[in-house]
Amino acid sequence: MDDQFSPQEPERPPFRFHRQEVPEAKTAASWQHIASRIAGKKAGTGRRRVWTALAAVVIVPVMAYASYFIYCHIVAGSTREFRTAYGEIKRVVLPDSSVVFLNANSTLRVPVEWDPEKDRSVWLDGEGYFEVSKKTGARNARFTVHTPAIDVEVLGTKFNVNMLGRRTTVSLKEGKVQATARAPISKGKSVFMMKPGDEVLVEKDFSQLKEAINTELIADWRNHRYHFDNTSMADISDLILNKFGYEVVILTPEIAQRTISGDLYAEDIGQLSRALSITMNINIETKDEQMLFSVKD
Amino acid sequence: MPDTYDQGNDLTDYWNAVRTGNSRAYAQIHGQLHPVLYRYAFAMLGDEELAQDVVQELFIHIWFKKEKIGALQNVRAFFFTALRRRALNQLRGLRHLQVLTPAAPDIEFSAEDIVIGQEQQAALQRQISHYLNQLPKRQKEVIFLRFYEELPYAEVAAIMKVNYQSVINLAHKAITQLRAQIGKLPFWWLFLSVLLNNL
Repeated sequence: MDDQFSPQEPERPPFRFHRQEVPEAKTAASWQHIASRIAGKKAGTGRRRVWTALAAVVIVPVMAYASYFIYCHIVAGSTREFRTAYGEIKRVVLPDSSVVFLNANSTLRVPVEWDPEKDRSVWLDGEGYFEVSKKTGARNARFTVHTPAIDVEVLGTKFNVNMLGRRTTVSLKEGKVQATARAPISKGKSVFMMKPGDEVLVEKDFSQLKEAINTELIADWRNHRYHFDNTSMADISDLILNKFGYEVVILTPEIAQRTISGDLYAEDIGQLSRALSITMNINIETKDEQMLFSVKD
Repeated sequence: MPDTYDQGNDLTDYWNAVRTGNSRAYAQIHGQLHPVLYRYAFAMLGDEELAQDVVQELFIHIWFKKEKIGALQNVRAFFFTALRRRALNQLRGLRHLQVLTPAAPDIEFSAEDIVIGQEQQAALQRQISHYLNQLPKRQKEVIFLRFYEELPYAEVAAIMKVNYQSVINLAHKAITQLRAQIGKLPFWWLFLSVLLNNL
């Protein structure tokens, strides 16, 4: 213990540290991962990497969607489908008395026969807010919402699932759910045990957890309210395209850089367009299936 | 400059081999540095998975940048510095996204990190780790790098991107404060610590 310090160095703290050992297995696992990633660069340079990249970019999502659709078709014969048009919101009551609010441009598939003894599964494409009744059947009968990107396993609760652009988010208002990404995730976790106020986002191979979001605002679209918090124009465009079926065309490039914060009330696209044009101080012209955004002269 | 922790120098040869594309040499560097870097990342991020990921990504990134990086004087310090930057970016990212959560965690000591006398006394260990965690972030980082990982002060200064004297000052402040706080502990504990310092 006789460390030598040069004179101006301060003394040691009045205790010693016990350095925690890192298990060798951890170091070995780390190297294995690194070795696999740095290999191949030298050998089959270009082509192999392109193929690997293609596999990641194309095959993974294709497989995810394929398995989702195959799944849907297998059960299609025995499912009932609920659909909403652009701008339409629908309330669906399920056989177990759970309630689902379907936002615009969404589809919900529900099995025709519900066996209360068995797990309940529904398939969602678009956006839906679920109020799941405490299971009336067997003690462990689960309720699962399947989407192309995430499976949400529910334990008696209220939550919103939204697919917008390439992003799928699950926001939990009450109770407890487990969200599991369907495709492999390379950045972030693939399974989340969520608590109220948690919001899980999955985009391709990326996942992320936001905590302590305002649960009052979850699924406020049911009241025709839109909450924007530093929301980018790209997200607004996605929203308008996805929920109302209008393509946003930005005529003045400066507008594309803007973000919007605040709450808007809009029952239809006309009101939304007016609200946006006032808050952003821009001209919005609606033409066929397009909305043209430009600055006011 | 006296140095009690100088495996850092062995790595220069390995690094020079790495620069010519030798991945076995890189495995050696990884083998030596992974545990140290992982502990550091874990202390900063507080999440095992995240810490492991950050260290892995760092090694992958540096491998592909090896020609650009060129010769290194202190390989270990270089990896530490790069890791610190990465971990901080990671924290900034998290802070940015988790709008309402409290400020990001910094280095956190646990009771198991502390040794007092022959036996480990849970209550005291907890007390000391508590004092440590109360220190300002930068003082904590100096204590961690200098006394936990036992890196020389010069290297600590390089990693934290401050000059040598500042690191000395930070360490001095931290130790003075720790001594004052620990001084308030019961007499029998002081006896133990004196015994220990004279071992």
